[in-house]
Amino acid sequence: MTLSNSIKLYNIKRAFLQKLSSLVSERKLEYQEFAKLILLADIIPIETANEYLELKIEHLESSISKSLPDTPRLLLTGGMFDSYRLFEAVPEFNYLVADDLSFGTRNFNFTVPQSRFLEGYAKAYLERTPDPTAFDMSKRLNGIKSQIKHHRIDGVVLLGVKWCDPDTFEFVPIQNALKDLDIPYLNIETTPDLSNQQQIQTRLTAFIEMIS
Amino acid sequence: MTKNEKERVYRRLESLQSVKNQMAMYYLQSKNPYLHDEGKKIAWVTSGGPVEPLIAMDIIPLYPEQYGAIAGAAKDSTRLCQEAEAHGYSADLCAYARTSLGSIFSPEPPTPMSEIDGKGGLAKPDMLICGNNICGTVLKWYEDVSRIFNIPMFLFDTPPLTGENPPNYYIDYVISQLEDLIDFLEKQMGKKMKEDTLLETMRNSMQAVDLWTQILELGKHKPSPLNCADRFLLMAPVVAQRGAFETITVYEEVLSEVQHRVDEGLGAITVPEKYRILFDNIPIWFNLYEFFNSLSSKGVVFPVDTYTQAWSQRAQITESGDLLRDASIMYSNIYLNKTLQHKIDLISRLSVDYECDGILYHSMRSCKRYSLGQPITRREVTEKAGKPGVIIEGDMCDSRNFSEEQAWTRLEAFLELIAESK
Ligand code: SF4
Repeated sequence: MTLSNSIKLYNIKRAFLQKLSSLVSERKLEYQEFAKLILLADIIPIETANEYLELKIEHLESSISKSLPDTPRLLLTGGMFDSYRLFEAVPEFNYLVADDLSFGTRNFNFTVPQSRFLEGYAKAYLERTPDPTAFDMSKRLNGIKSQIKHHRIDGVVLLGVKWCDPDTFEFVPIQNALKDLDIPYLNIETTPDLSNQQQIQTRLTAFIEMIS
Repeated sequence: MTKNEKERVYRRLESLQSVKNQMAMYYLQSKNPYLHDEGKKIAWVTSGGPVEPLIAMDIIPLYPEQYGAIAGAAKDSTRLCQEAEAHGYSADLCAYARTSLGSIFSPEPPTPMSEIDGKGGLAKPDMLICGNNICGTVLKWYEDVSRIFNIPMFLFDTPPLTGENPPNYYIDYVISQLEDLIDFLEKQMGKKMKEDTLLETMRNSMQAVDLWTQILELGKHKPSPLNCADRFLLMAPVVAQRGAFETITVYEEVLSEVQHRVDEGLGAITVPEKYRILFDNIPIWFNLYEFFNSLSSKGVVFPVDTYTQAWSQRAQITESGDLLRDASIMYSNIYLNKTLQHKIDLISRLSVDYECDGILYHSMRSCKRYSLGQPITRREVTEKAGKPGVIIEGDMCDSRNFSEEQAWTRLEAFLELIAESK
C-alpha cells in the first residue's frame, strides 16, 4: 500500500469514527458500544474496519433510536487510558455523550492532508488536541470547553491512570477551568487492571444522582 | 541491627561549612528585596536545565528540586506534599513537585536558610526554565507553576538520546533550543547576552564540574574518603551554582581536604570499611542521617552513587566558538535522558571501578523516571559485573512511602549475602 493510500484509508476511518461519536452525542449509540468499535477498528485490517464502520453507521441511522438515558449528559476526559472493559463493566458510563481520551476522540478528530505527505502528517499530529504528555495544555483546555458547549455537557468525569504524572497533573487545571464554568466534575483514578472498579461504580452513580 | 545508632561514626568534613556558607549567601541574595532594582531576576530551573546562560544574564537560578531536598532533610516535606494533595494533586505525583507546590500554597513553608532568613519558601520566580532532559513530569509541573504565578515558562526540549553520541540532526535541534532560550532570556531581561560573559561562565562551570569529578573519583580509594551523605550535601553548588566563580573556590577547598584524607588513609567512616556499596537513585532525604549513619556503624560505606555522578558531565569548551554545540551535547547527554542499557553499563562500570561489593537500588515510589527498570538493571548488572543488588522501596520526600522496618530487613539479608560470598 502506498503512503498516500494509507493516509486516505485512515482519514476515512477517522471520519467514520467522528460520525459515530456524533451518534453517541445524539443518544443513538451507547458509549459502551462505541468504545468497543474504537478498539475493534484499531485491531482489524483497515479496509475491513472501514467497511464495518460504514455498515454500522447505515444501520444506526436507519434504525429507530434506542431508549438511552437522556440526562445527565457526561463528558469523559483523560489520558492514555485503554482498559475499555471498564465501560462494559460499569453501565453508568452510558451517560457519556463524548470523550476526550488519547485513544478516543483525540485519536480521530483530525484529518491528515493528502497532498503534503510527511509535512502534512507531522502538522496534523502537532495541531490536533494534544495528549497530557505534550507541552502547553491550553489547546486541550479549549478543546474540553468547546466539547462542553457542543455536546451540552452537564458534568465531567476526569479519569486518571494512577502513577501517570502527566495525566494526573492536568487534573488540577482542568478542575479549575470546570469550576470557572460552573460544571460539576468527578475525579477518578484507577490502575490498568481496574483494581477499584467497584468504587468507581459507586462514586459515578452518586455523581450522576447528584447532578440529575 | 540497631536502626538508630547513637554513636557517630562519621568523620566531620570541615569544608562542608564553606559549601553551606556559599549556599547561604546564594539563598540570601535571592531574597534581596532590591533585586529587581539591581537589574536581576529569579528563575526557577529544573535540575537538568541550562544554568550558565542564566548566570551570564544576571538571573539567579533557584531549584525547586533542591528545595524539596532541603524540606525533606528538615523533615517537613511530607506536610508540604499533603498541602499539595489538598489542592487537588495526586498523592502519586513526584514528591519533589508536591513539596514545591505545597510550599507555594502553605502559609508556613520551610525556608532554605531558616537561621538567616525569616521568610518562607523559595523566592518567587520571575520566569521558569524547564528542561525535559530528566523527565516528562517537570513539563507538567512547571506548566502549573507558570499558571499559578502567571509568569512565562521556557521549555528546553532535549529528545531522549538512544545512542551514546547524539547524531548531527539531534545536536542541531538542541542548538536551536539554546538559541531560543537565549532569545527568551534577552526578552525577559531587556538586554543582549554578551558572548564573552557566557563563555567565561561556561569555563567557570566546566572548571567546577572538573573539580567535582575529581572529588568523586577519590572515592575509588580504600578506605573511601567520602560517603553518600557527604556527597549529597556537597553537591548543592554544582547543581545550583555552576558557572559562579565561588563554586570553584569552594570545591578547591573540598578537593584539598578529601585529597588529604586519601593521603592520610582516612576514611569517611571511623570504623573499618567492611562493605563498599553503590547507591542508585535520589536519597531518602527525610531519613538521610539515620539511614547512612546506621549503616556506617556496621562498616558499610558508599564510595559512589549514580545521583551525584549526574553532575560530572563535562563539555569540551573549545576556542573555535562552537560553544552552543558543546553545550547542547552536554545538556542532552544526561543520565536520565538516556537508555536503560546506558544505566546498566554505567552502574556495572562504576561498581567495578570503585570496587563495590554490591548495589543498593532505592526504588522511589514517586519518581518513576529514575526507578523504572531497576529490577532489570539489577539482574543485568549482576550478570555483567558480578555485583549483587538489593532493591528497597522508599521515597525522596514523602515519608508515607517508606517503611524503615521493611528496608532494614532487606538490607540485613543483603549484607549477610555479601559477607558469605567474601
Ligand atoms: S526525575 Fe523524578 S524526582 Fe526528578 S523531577 Fe522528574 S519525577 Fe521528580
